[in-house]
Amino acid sequence: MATLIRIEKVTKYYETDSKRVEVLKELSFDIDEELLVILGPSGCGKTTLLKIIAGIDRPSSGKIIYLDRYSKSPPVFGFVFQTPTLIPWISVLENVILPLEARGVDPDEAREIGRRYLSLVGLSSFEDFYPGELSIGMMQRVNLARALAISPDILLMDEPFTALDPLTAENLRAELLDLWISGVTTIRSIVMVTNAVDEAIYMGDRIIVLSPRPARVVANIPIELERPRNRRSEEFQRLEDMVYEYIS
Amino acid sequence: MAIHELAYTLAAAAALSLARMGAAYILSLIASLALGILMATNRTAEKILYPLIDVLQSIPILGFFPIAVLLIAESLPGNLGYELASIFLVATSQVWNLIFGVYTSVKILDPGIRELMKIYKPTPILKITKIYIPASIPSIANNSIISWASGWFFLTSAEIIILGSRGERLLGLGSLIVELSSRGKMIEMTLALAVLVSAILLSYIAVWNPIANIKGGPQSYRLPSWDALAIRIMDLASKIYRTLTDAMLKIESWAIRKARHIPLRPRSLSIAAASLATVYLVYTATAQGGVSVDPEVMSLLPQRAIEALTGLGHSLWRIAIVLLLGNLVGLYLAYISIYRPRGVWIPIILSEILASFPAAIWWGILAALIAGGVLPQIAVAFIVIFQGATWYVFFNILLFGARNIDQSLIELSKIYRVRGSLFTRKILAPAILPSALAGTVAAWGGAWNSIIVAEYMEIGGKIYGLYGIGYLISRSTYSGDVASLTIYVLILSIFIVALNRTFWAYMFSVVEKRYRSIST
Ligand SMILES: Nc1ncnc2c1ncn2[C@@H]1O[C@H](COP(=O)(O)OP(=O)(O)OP(=O)(O)O)[C@@H](O)[C@H]1O
Ligand SMILES: [Mg+2]
Repeated sequence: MATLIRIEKVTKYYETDSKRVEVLKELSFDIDEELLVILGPSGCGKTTLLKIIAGIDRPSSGKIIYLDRYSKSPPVFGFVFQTPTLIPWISVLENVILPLEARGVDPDEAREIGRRYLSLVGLSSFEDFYPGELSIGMMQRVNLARALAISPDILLMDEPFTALDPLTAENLRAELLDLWISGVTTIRSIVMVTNAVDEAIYMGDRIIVLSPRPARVVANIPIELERPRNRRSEEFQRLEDMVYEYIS
Repeated sequence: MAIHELAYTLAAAAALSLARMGAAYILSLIASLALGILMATNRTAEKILYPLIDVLQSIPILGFFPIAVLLIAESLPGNLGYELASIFLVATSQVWNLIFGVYTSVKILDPGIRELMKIYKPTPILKITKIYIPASIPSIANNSIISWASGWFFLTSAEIIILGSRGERLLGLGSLIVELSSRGKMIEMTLALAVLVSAILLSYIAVWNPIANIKGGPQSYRLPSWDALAIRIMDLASKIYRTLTDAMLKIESWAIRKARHIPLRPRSLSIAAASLATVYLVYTATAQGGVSVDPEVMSLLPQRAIEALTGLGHSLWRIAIVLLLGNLVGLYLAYISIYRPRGVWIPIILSEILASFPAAIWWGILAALIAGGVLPQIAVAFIVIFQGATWYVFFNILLFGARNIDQSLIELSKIYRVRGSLFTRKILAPAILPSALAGTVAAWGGAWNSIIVAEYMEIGGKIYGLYGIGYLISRSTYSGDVASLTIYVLILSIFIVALNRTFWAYMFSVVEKRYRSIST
């Protein structure tokens, strides 16, 4: 299994006025072709870490190394933002296809792709709506559709299911896992951030557990349960207990 | 002039000008808080004051000369009256956007906070001091940059108060520069200009930019600043504010205990304010009437009105061209500010200096070029209108639009590499549209004020005139023809307010509809 991205001793602090807030402390791990879950308590620096991986924020020290075929040109990232982050003055469909347009995809083709992913997240009939006319959960699904529509190499997801109602969340988790396992997409790796232990074990091939701020890697746990996973199974429970040990 | 004498004069002029600007600013601040909050919280006051302020805002500074001279300057002994008149005049160029800023901040207060007030029912003083004023701070912090520039821009006009045969030239940077240039003292004038630019630059870097950075709300880039002094000033201001607030709250709670039923009543307050304003206006009107109601002048009035209308036509197209150009440049600056935030301080500092540069000074510098035939006079007029008006557009775009653009949208466009024209069309232009429109409307008002100096200037005894409404207003002011001045100003104000109420109101409603329907 190829390693796609190497995170090497990444440290990040923010300086505001005279205070210095240390957020990430010497983080090192690899991102392979896998569904990697990053689990950490609220405010520990998970969002910051994802932005650094995506290259829109810089580490204060340390390096992000793109490997494999990305050493020359960085991978295409899909990014599911923690809050929907839709552009309020253009329609839902236009929001989804914006990244495609940015890559020069023909508008008609882009729209077709956009519609496909909107229907995947169950929003076909809302393509002409404006973001303000949707519920938060629906906006979050648009956010996901946009990240998938671009056919990313790597999908970064920042607590993608937290804003959704439990039922929708569970459905989307299953959809996403289906997509991922069936291998019909271009996605070679998913990095998902969460602070829910059971979601981490349900979804992940591997879990990286972060400490409270400043975040350090406290555990690196491969999850070798068969899919589809059963949350009630004994092994699942055992793993859950073990992970809770690390984060408490 | 000997060198030490010049240095002394320059220092005194700079100190006096700064003191006038500061005093006028404090006056404007108090007035804007009082009027803005009153308008936003009281329907009756809103109905009376909003249109009144809209009209007053459209009156060029020269239109306030009769009030300044006859009511303030001449009713007080010695130079004191003219000093106060000058401060009043500077304030008339600073106050309007502050009032509307406070008004809007209170008006669009977070609905959650309104609910909170309904539940906990704070007393009026508590509401004003702990909710309305703090809610207005970001807008005041940002708008002060505009007001301060506007004050400088009209400084020369406020330091040379001349109405026909009456009047006074007060010592200050504005009047000094004009005088030096009209006496042809180029070296001294250059020095005075350097002092002016330093004063402008310093006041921004050390006071207004840091205040806007610290208090101006969320922003995607910081204005160039040096913070130490501003932090001291803000500490002092917040101490004074706290002391005042506590004292007022004590008095209020004492009053409430004393007489359970007479809290401050906004309605009686607004009626008092309205009647004061009426008395004031009537008084002014009669005072003006007393100056030159010469029957001969009266018979010329119809002709004056026709002159005013043709003048309007001439001035209108000049202004339209400038506004269009200003918006294009503004959009370009916004783009730069997002893509090269490191370089954004350059257009900001340049706008701050240029916006502050008193209009009369352009003429001083460029008159030589006109005389030499290098530059046509109309080009200078365009420069003056452009400089006197478009910075409203730049400031609104750079201070409010581009600086407050939602950070997550920028992150989004970075991740998905949305750039260039796609970024401009889909994200940047729509995001700054409301502020660009607000800026354009302010610039529209500012442009009409700046044409009085763009279309008429006297330098060293030579008059540079360009026919238009601004030319007419200036000529009548300096020749003391108050009746004609009143007609011109009246027609100009009616025209501006009419367009504000129709064309611009329509533009606002279109933008608002689009933006509201999607944000709720
Ligand atoms: N631009 C910034 N300037 C200063 N501090 C910041 C900035 N962005 C984040 N921080 C700080 O960094 C820390 C981590 O923030 P981050 O958003 O990465 O946390 P998180 O793990 O994603 O939290 P949550 O689970 O609540 O989303 C927080 O303490 C926050 O205050
Ligand atoms: Mg987060």
